[in-house]
Parts: sequence; structure tokens; C-alpha cells
Amino acid sequence: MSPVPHDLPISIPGSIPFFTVLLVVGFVLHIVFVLLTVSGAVMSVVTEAVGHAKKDGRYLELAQRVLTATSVNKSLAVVLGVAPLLLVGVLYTRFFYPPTVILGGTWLSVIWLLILGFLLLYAYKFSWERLQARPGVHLLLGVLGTIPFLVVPMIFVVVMGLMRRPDLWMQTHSFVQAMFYPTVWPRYLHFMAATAVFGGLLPIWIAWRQERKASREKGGVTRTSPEASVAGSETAAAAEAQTGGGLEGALDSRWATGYGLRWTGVALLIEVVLGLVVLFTMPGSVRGHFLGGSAFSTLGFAVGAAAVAAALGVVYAARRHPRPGRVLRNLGIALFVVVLAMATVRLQIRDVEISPYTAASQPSGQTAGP
Amino acid sequence: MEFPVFTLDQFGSGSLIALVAIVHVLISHGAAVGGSIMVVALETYAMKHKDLEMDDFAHRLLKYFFVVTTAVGALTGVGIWLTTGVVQPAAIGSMLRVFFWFWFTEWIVFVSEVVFILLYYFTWPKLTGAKKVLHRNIGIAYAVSSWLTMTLITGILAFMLTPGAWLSDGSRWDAFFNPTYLPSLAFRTFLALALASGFTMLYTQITVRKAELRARVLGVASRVLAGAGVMMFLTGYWYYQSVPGGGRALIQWATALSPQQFDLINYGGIFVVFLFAMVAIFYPMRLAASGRINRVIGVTASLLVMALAVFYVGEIEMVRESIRKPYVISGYMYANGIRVSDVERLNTEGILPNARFSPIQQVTPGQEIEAGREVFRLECQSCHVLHNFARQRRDLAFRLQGWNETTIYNYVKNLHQARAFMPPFVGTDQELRALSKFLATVPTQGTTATAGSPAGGIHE
Repeated sequence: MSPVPHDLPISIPGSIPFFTVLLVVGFVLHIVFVLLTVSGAVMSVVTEAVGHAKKDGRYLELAQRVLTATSVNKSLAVVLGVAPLLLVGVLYTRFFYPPTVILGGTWLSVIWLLILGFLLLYAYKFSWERLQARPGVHLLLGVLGTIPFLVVPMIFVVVMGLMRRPDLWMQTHSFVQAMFYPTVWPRYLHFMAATAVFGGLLPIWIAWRQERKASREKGGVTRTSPEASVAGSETAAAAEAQTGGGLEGALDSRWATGYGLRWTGVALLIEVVLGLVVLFTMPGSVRGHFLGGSAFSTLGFAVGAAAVAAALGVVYAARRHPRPGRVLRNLGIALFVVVLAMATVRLQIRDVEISPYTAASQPSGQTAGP
Repeated sequence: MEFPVFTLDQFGSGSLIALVAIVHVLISHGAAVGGSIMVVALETYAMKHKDLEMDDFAHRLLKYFFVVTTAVGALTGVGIWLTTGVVQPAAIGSMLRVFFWFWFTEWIVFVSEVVFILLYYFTWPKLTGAKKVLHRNIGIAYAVSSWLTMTLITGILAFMLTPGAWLSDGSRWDAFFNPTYLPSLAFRTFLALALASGFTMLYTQITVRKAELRARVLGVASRVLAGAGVMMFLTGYWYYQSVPGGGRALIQWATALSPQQFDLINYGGIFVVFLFAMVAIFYPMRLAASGRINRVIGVTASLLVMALAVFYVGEIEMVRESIRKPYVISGYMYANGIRVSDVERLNTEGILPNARFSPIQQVTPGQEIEAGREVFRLECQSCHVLHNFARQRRDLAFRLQGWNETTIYNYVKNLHQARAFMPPFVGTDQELRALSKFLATVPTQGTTATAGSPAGGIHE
């Protein structure tokens, strides 16, 4: 008997191609905020630690602003995750539910892990001022709050990966066992590096907002001088102070942009290497699709690779004179194209891998429901 | 039968769903729906009376609602999806297809709800002076979107209880606007307000030092509470009357209360809530006054309101879970995921040969107990566990003490007649004998019967 269940007797309430497009778009929106959330948590902790080690207030200030942005991003990541969850459940009912049941305990721990992580990150955020005298304790809160964000992606990689491998369902007994199936670790690391690539956008976005605010207060001056950016950031800091930010002094927006560019640039280089590892650990039949086998997949793959090259170009070009607005726009577009291409390609991989099962198990002895 | 089965001994899958659902309902009703209305009411009061202390208090209160809604509320909401998907994949998969567009719409409203709460919270210190009205209106938008998510989800929850005309015509609109939809929506709305008032009163009593401010907050919260109390009484009665006869008889059973206790807690409790609200409206200073005895009375009374509201939330969730039995989707699918329309076929073909993930595909001599355990997992485990550390009613090792194979066989054969809330046994006579044989071993060697069955694993 095929391990894949029959489809449900109730029909899919809409057009499958349309739902597939919705799934890709919904997933891209979700994953962008997930990438920003995971990287925001990690970056906050790392940047605060660097700030204390170097006794450099700029790092501390940036770390705190990144954390504030993260508390917004994490809420959007969760809420935007619902649509892809709905669509996967409708489109891939027979493939999605079995792995979540087989690894049920671990799959459900996602909820408790994220609640714990979110509450710890709130504690980390709201205790920022109170615990500045005790950086060790404060950083510990941040580290503990970040751990769930490193574990949850692994659970998703394993469960969603198992969805594409019905042949492994009957022999899978535990999460740890499934964690060492081929392609799991390369995919996980590929994802984690992607978080750092996107994380670099956070300081650049913060710098851009600061410059924009400064130019507005200067009376609609578009091109900002360094002086203007300093003046503006003071009011921004004052506003932050009221929301619990309590920031003093200005954030050097060029410095912050440079800091973000370093994260993105280094992570992009790592990502290129990991991307090749992922490509060559795939089953040959799937890989063939991206290397000429299917025009659509090959095109998607090529577009993604070109956008990565473009993103590297943006980072390289901006290394001397980083202008946050421009960098944010160019890098943002390039990275969005990368994620869109990746998400499309990823769906393609899934459909290729499950294709032997989709034809084989049509409803047989079942009676139709209402 | 098409999907693997999730095992959670000692606690039970049903209790897991109940736990996630109750936490979620407490937060989504109390902190999001009720909480947003309460904070907006307090902010409006502060604007009208130019009361800066009150404005500051409302902002602080929102911070709690914000943290708990965005960290615990949103996650447990998604958690219900994941949990029910794992425990009842066939049921949740079916409902997803019937209600896809309602859920998709709900998701859009949910996105706007999250965006509005982020805006409302983070712009509180920034939108001041002339922009204060705008800020309050963002709050109203948040409250409205919060309530709209509830109006959408309630349709689906009520459908599971009373699918109404959907069973005959298959219309998604009939499924949504089912017989218990409006009364349950109304009852939940006022319950949400009572819950938020209770929490606000308790929070005020504990954290606010100035008696005058406490009294002013109590003044606003108690008016909301009084209205909610009256309306809970009326809409609760309406809800109770709209549940079809068999379900109504089960409500009292589901709460595990005697009829007298049931009336006392439900009608008496709401009366106490109303009475407390009246005292707070007419004598706010008495309740808010400083001094140890006053504080103890104030805190105790708020705690009581809070506890009663929490009890009602638990009650409606437990009742909702219980009274739809023996079905998970009334008239369409039994609580163990077996479709009503498949029963006849499974009775002739057997359940094991149709269980895709079962390692045992038929009853063979010498293997009856193992086969019986599989039948148990397929048909009973979505509600029962062999051992339950907390609830004896669900602990089969306890309940089967003194039962032998024959008694169990005869009982299970006529189970659905003896107990209306149990689905009928489905499968061949041979499978029923194997199940009885297995169940007879449970009280004596119960622990070994599940040994090696990891939570979430599908194989022994």
C-alpha cells in the first residue's frame, strides 16, 4: 500500500494554479519576516555583546533599535504564516498531515518554544535600561530568548522535508533520526545564512529612517548632510526614549549602514557556498531540473543566482560611501527577487519529488461526502 | 483511517487541544476583544476629562494586553491549527476545504488586527495633542478588527456543533450561518467584556497606588462589566436554548456538575458579577479606598469576577468539545475521524486493512492483542488514553478494572446505544474480539501495553 493517504472526498474550493500562486506569495511574505525576526534576535544579542566588549555606545544603541524592530517583525512573521499554513493544508493535505503526526510531539513543541522565545525577548527588551549595569544577566536573557529561534527552523526543515519523502514515513520513529536524513543540515544552514543576509537590512533600515526623519525636520531637504542626520536622530532618540527605548545621543547612520553591509556581504558569500552544497546534495533527478532539465526551474534558478550576484554588487559598490536609502532600495529589491526565485524553485522541488505519489493514489472505495 | 495516529498517553490528545484552546480563548477574548474595547474606553475617558493619569494607566494596561496577545495569544491561535491537525487530520483537512474562504478572510482581518495593535501600542507616546483623536481611532480600528476575527471564527466553531442545513445542501453559507452561530457570537462578545473588566479591576487594585485613580478606573470598568453581566445572562440563555435537545441534556453532563450546582454557578455566578459591578458603579471609592481591609475586599472581589469569567470560558470550551459527541463534525464525521458514510464499508472490510499506517493489517491467531491495540489506537485514542494522571474519567486502566473480555465485548458492541455520546464500534466482529482481548489486559499489565509507544510516534 502506498504510504500516501487518499485525497479527501470534499473538493479543493478553488483553482489549484491560483492557490499555488497564493501559496508562493504568502510564503515569501511570511519568510521575509521570519528571516528578519531570527536575524534581529541574533543581531541584537551579538551587537550588544560587541558593544559591551568594545565599550562602544554605538553598538548598544543599534542593538536596542534592532530589538524594537524585531518585536514588530516577529508579530508579522507569525500572522503572515497562517496563509501558507492554510494553503499547504488544502493543496497538500495528503502529504502535509502525515509527517506532522509522525513527528507530532516535536512539531507541536514549535508553539511552546516560540511562546517562550517571545516572552524572553520581551523580557530582554523591557529590561534594557534596568539591566545595563549588569550586562551579563541582560545578555543571558537575550541568548535564552534567541535559542528557540535557532531550533524552530530546524523543526520546519525536518517536517517540511519529510513531506516530500513518503518513502521514509513508515521508518521514521523520532525527530533526532529525521534530523540526520540527507539534505536536512545543508538546508538548515542555508536558511540560517539567509537570516544573516536579511539581517543586514535592519541597521540599514534604521539608518535610513533616521536620515529621512532628519531631512523632514530640516524642512523637506532631501539630500541630508551629516549635521542634519545628527540633529534628526536626537529627536528620533527622544521619541524612542518615550516608548521605552531610552536612547541617548545619535546613531551614526553611515556607520550603521556599513555595519549592516558587513553582515549582508559576509553572509552572502557564505550563502553562495552553502547554496552549492544544497544543490549537490539533492537527488540527481531533482538537480537535473535546475540544470537544463526544465526550462521553468532552470530560469528560476538562474534569476535567483543573478539576483545574488546583483546583491553582492550592491554591497561592493556601497562599501566606501554607504547611503542608506539607496542601499536599502537596491539591496531590498535584489534580495526580494532571490527569495521569490527560491520559493518558486522550492515548490518546484516538492512537486517533482512527490510526483510519483500524486498519480498513484486516487480516491477509490470512498463515498463522496457533501 | 487514512492518516497516522498521534499518541499522547497520560494526558490525552483531547486534553491537549482543550489546554491550547482554553489558553487561546482566554487571551483572544479577554485581552484582544475585551481588552481592546476596555483600553479604548479608558483612553476616551482620559481624553474627555483631560485625565493624564488615566491616559498613562490605559497605556500601561495596553502593554500587558499587547505582550500577552502577541506572544501567547497569536501563537496559541496557530497552535490550535497545529494541534487539531495532528490529532484530527481528517477532520481539520475537511473543515479547511469547506471553510477555506472564511478562514482566508479571517486571516486578512487577523493581519489587520496585528497591524492595528502594533500601531496602537507603538504610536501611543507619539500621537499626542491634536493627533490624540487619530490615536484613539486606531484603537477603535483595532477593537473592530479584533471582534471581526471572532465573528468569523465563531461561525466555524459553531458549525462543528450544529452544521444545520449544510448536511443536506452542502452550502458553505448555510454551514457558516448555522443555528448556534449568532447566540454563541453574542455570548462570547459579552464574556470577552466581562473577562477584560475583571482583569482591569484586578490589575488596578494591585498596581495602582492612588485611591482616586483606582476609583476612576473602577468607575469605567464596572459600567462595562454591568452591561456585560446583563447581556451574558440573556445571550447565555439564548445560546443554551439554541443547542438541539440531545446536546442540551449533555451540557450539564459535560460540566460534571449536578443540576443544582450547574444553575448555582451559571445563573448565580453571573448575578454575583452583576452585583459587584453595581457596587463598583455606585460606591467606587468604597471599593478603591486605601487601608488594608478595603484592599483585601477589593482584590478578592476583582479576583472573584476574574475567576468566574475564566470558569465560563473553560466551561463553554469543554461543553463545546463534549456536546458535539459522538461527532467531530456533527452528522458527517465521528470523533475518531471515521466518516459516517464509510461505516458500512468498514464493517464488512474491517478497519485494519483500511488503516494505511497500521503495521498490522489483519487479526491473525496469536496476534490478537497486538491487533486489538491497533484497533484501540485507530478508534478510541482520539479521546481515551490507557493511563491519565489527572482525569480518572478518561483513564481506561482505572475504568476497566474488574471487566473481563466478554463483558467488554458485549459492552463495546452496543456502546453507542448505552452511551449516546460514543461513536459506534466500526469494524469486523473479529476486530472487536481483538479489541476486547487487548482492553481486558489493560488494567493488569497496563503500563507494558503502551511501553515503547513514543508520544507522536506511529509505530510501537
